[in-house]
Amino acid sequence: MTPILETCGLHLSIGDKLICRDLNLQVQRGERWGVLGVNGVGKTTLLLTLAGLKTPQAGSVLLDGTAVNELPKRKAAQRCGVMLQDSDDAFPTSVLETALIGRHPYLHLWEWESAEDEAIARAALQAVGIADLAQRLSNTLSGGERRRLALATLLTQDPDLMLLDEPVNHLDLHHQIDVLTLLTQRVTQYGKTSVMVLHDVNLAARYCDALLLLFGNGEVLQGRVGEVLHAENLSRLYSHPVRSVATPEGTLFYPGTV
Amino acid sequence: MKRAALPLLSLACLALISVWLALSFGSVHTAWSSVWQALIGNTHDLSADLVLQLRLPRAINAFTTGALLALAGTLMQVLLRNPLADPYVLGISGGAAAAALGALLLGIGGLWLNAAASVGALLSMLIVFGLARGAGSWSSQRLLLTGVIVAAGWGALIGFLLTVSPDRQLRGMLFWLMGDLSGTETYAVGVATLVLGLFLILPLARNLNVMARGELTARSLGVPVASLRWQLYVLASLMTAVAVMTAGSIGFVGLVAPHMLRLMVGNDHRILLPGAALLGGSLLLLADTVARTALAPQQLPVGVVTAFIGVPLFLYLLSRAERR
Repeated sequence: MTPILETCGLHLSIGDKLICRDLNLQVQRGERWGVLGVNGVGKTTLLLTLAGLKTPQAGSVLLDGTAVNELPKRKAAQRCGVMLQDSDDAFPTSVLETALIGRHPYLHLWEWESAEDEAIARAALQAVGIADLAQRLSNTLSGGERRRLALATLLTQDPDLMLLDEPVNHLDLHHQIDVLTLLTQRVTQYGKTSVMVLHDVNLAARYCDALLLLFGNGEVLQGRVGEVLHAENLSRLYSHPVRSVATPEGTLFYPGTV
Repeated sequence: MKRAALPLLSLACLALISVWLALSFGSVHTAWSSVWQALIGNTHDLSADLVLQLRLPRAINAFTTGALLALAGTLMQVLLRNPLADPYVLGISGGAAAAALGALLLGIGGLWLNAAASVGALLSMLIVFGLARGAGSWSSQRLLLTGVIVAAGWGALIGFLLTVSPDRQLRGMLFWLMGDLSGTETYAVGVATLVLGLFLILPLARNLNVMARGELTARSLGVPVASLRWQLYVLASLMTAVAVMTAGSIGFVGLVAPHMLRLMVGNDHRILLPGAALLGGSLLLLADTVARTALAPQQLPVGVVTAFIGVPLFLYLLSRAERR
């Protein structure tokens, strides 16, 4: 089966800092991938490249077997969506209008959002738990509410492949679990696929099927969670001793004291 | 779609009222019935001449100029993702005026004068956008600082040109500086630019909504940002150049009209773009009517009136929006 997302010989760097060299990644439909690495290692750049928003130095990104930069932009946006790390509020609109932006790739030049589009957006707001804020201006939301609005916008866009840059950033514990459960539901029940940048190793262990570890200097490690997620790899990844403890709900990782 | 109807209808009413006021008031007050008779061509007396040959062309000029400035301001605000962008504040109007004055000094007139103003506006935009962008994105401070400095530079150049110009040319030159709608008979260029501009930009209104949320967001939603940016850039420069050509450099319309609308109807550009054209046009037409009549027979520069009306109104709306 053609992977929904595939990279062939991907070579990426920012300035003289190498992110990955000759990366061959295959993300199958219905998988949840996590990207781990220290700050500034290039996780966001990699994610933007996967979305076709940045051009790699070499290699290619394929969406359903077609080079992502050769797809018509609107069609690509119907199949692959990104939740960026921060949102821009220079021109604030209501929460509902902000979520409705996700319908843009489906509408023609003169078309206005229909009642169905609005229903999709309202359902997305409901799913992330901010339906009661629909009429509020987006710039009056708290940091966590903004993140959930960004996720609702992505759910309104409803792409097959969801690329998420730190989706649980700014969220409290309760909402972190809610959001990741919601994403898992989209993947298992609606046949979607997700690739997300995460910082919390334990959340990655619980809510991802496979992981991509970025060590810097172009060194990467990929594999199933069970294969790659162990204390030794994590200690090397974060340049800090990471220890693990077995609990009834699985292995937990925690930073050791030096 | 329904949301757009009420604000746009109200603005259209405002536009009609301002046209009626402009046609009725002046050195001689003309009753509404005679204005109407003159417009539909039933009478050919002196007051009909006054309405049709003096007030109507001037009203059309004022309305198109205001509409063009407001549209240019709206486009620049999206392009730079900065609500403070405006052709006057960023020195685009100054560039057009300086180039026009230079052309006048060299004895160039007619269409070439208009061409010079356009080149001045485009050049000014190129400088401001190019320098303010630097390596990264357009940051607010860099952009506004660059705009203010470029505007100051054009101001100095204009001062220099005025000083070395022969006296007999000074009056014509002042026209470019203070904003004046009395000087032009031809409104075809302004009307054509406005119609063309609206025709080109209205279908892109939803793209602008997406672009206002940032370049990456827009690209991830399938908006061709690079080409859209160039279209906005060229259109905004062209509209500014034509507005300056028609009426000299008039400030605040491009800032105040879109802003008032953003505060009143929100940031949906499908309503904002036609709304800005209507409001900007009405605003400048009202201002010009005041400029003609307030201290009659003396005429005020319309730029002075737009500032007098625009600044307090804008401050009021801003304080009200913040309290909400």
